[in-house]
Amino acid sequence: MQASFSKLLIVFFLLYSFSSFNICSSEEEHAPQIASYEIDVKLDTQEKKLGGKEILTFINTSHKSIDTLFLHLYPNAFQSNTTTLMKESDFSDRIKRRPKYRGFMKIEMVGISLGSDLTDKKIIDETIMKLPLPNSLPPRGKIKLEIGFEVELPRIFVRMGYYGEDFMISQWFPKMAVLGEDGNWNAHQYHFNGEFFANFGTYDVSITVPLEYVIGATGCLVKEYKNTDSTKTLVFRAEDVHDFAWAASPDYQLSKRVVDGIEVNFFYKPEHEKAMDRIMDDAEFALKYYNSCFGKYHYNHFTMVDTKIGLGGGAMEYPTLITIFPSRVPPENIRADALIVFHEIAHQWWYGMVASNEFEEAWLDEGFAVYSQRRALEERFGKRANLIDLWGIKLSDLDFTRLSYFLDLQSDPIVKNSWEFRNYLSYRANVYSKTSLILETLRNYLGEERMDEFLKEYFRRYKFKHPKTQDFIQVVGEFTGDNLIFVLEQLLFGTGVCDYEVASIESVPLENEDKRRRYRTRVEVRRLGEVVIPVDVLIELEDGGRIKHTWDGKERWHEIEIETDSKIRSAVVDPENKLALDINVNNNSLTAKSCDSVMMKLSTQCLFWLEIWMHWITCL
Amino acid sequence: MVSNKRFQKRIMRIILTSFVEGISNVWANRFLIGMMFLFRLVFSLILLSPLYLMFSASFATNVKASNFLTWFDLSLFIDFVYHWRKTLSVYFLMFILVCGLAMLVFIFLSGGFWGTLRDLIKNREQNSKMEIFFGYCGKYFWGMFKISLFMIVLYFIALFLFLFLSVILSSITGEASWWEITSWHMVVKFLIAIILFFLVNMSGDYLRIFLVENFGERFFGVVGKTFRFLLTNLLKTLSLYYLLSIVLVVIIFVYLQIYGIMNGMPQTGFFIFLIFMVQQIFVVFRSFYRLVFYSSQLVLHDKISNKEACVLEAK
Ligand SMILES: [Zn+2]
Repeated sequence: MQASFSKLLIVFFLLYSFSSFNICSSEEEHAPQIASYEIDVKLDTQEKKLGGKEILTFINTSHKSIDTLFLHLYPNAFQSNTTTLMKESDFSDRIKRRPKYRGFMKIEMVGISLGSDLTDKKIIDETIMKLPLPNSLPPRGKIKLEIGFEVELPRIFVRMGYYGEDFMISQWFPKMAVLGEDGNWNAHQYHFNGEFFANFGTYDVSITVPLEYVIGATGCLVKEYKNTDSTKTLVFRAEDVHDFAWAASPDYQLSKRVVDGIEVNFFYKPEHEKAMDRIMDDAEFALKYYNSCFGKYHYNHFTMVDTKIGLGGGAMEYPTLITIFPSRVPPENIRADALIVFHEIAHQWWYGMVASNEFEEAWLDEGFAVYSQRRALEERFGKRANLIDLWGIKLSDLDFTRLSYFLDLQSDPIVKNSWEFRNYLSYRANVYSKTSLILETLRNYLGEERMDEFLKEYFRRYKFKHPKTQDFIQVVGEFTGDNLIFVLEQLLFGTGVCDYEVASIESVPLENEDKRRRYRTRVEVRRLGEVVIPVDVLIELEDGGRIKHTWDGKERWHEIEIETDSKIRSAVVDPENKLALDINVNNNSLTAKSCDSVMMKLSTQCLFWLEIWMHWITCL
Repeated sequence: MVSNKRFQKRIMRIILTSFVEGISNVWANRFLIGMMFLFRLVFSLILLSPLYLMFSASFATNVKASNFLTWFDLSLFIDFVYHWRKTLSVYFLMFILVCGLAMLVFIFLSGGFWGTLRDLIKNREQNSKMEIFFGYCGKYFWGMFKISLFMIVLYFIALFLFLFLSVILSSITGEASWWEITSWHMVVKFLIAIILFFLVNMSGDYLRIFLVENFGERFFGVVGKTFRFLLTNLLKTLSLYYLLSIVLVVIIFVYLQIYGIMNGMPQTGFFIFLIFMVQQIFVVFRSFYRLVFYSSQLVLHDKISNKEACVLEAK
């Protein structure tokens, strides 16, 4: 029985491996093919230029006929110091002073395949190109465009460009904007805050580079051949994706590994050889962990490229590809690289497959990625010191997130166009940190298992779709009931904070006839923040008795009055720390007697360090 | 060969006797240790008191604060900083001002420390110690102040020298990650830093010795004399400095061991008090030992210059 079963397994395995050979995505469900590209591009490594041709196939998925197409020409964001991106960033001076940071895209020709030439009809406004059509495109109608383009690459700057001999090529081809169901285009300029939004499709990309160059790209390599002019062409195919990015360097080394049937490729620089194994381990962990928590990674390939992405960024996610530039910190003590790998890989789920609109609702990608990264860090390195464990300083990702949330609590609500946030700090604090704290709070209310069920359901329902805030709220509602929806709406659309406090506690002896001593115990809890969330209050008595009470939090204050057999020892609001969003946990409790040993320890330690400090500053 | 060995022995003897005499001189003037410790304690208490009030408001009746007894719970601390951010920014300003004041007061006191210790070597009469001590404080203040400013310049020069040397070292060996202290060129960098720091610190001490010995002379005259002395006696002065430092490092190591053991004990009031006592004893010791640095170097300087004088007379 055993033997025949294992034979069967071998046959099954062989069949499986033949069937998956050189196929770029699994056979299951596919994304709607709305915008697909065949691109032929050549990288001129001397002139730092791209020259290419693309055939863009687009389907009108709206209910209306359309007579204009909108395309993104992202590289034009680098054309001068007055572009939207430059004005919003702090870098406009830099580009003014240093011409090498300049870059742009030139449209050499554009026309309908086997149809009219639209080159002269195009209207370019910075990073948006409007293309009036000679005949309108009806609902479900398909159009094929042919575009010739050239890109002058900037020195690496906000995700794209060259540095030394290396190239990071992203947002580099004329790209179709997203057409809403109502027939309106979702086409925004390239802003400094906020990322991207696009439709799914298939990308067939041929990249020609000098022979010595190595390329890591979205999708998988299907063909490679040498040309006569000492260049080579690599042909990549990526199915069910909504973007295509690549990096090229003459000294990339390649490390390969197969994880859960996914071929993982890491193109790393020789100077990062030491970090290579560690980063591969992190990637393996993340892919496996997210596979089990959120649902299966759709593709059978995943690529990491070791590259800088320039000022204004640390690392970046693209479909089936992430960038990582190993940091120079002790990896055992500061898990910066693990955090980045976990974050960017989480984006494969929350951006890559569940593709929300990053222009208008970036929180649905970034907040989810921060939450996922935290889950992975906790799973891998424990809860307490999963980010920094150095010289006695223990910092968890949760601490770090709360800290960055505190940097700008109240300037903006979470749900807002990315570029309309007060500044990058507020964007970061809300879209990344506050959102992840909301998800953390949700996890604490639902419990880990239920939370995973929720995320799996959300992923299943919106894989290859573009869910919006209301879609998220609806799924939450199905899991929690209406109570939490009310809370969620305050948190997503409002700028209020969450802060509960125990204001006072007391136990007064009661006059009574029998000999048993009884007390009237009073606890006053207050809601200092605007956000209303039901909370637990735990009362502990001197005899060890515990009384739990739930308060709906609707009023600004609430008094709990009970008769008890012994005096109160302490009262704690939110005793299980469910409210990750609470901005001051130090006022969450009160004890009847002050905790002298804590005060003694804190002040004596401080005194000692101050004395040592005095010793040092008098060295002069 | 033989004479070389004898020379080495003589240096060893002179250094060891300077060290021992240095200790006994400080011990003979125990009130100086008290002054040094008191200075640190008073300024530390000034800086501690606002913190204490904030701690007390946030942690004294906080159930979760008992976490601090076992580990440093950063989440409580983050909320503490956020909650008190406005007060803390005022505190920060106060901190800078108090530290500036402390440095000035120490510059004032150092005249007293050096003057009193020098007198002991010269066996001068000492009637009212306090009166003499503060007399010296006033007398040498301006000189000590100028030396401190000069020291800042020296530290900057040392820093640039260090950066320069590490750039050269990196260009020879290639970059290394700063945390890999096991790699040999990080060890070299560390040693360069230590040597430079010691050199500057030691120069400061001898500048002060020459100031009290040659009071009234032009500042740059004192500086010139000091460096001439240091250059001609570098082996002796450095050896003494290293001996002093190595003993200190050993004692700090012992302290850390004791602290480690005590910190592992259950954090009851008694043990917290015990740790506090050990820490304060350590601070008293550091005060004592800084004076030993001063007085040993004074003794060494005295021995060397006496000998030079003898040689001159003999000639
Ligand atoms: Zn992200």
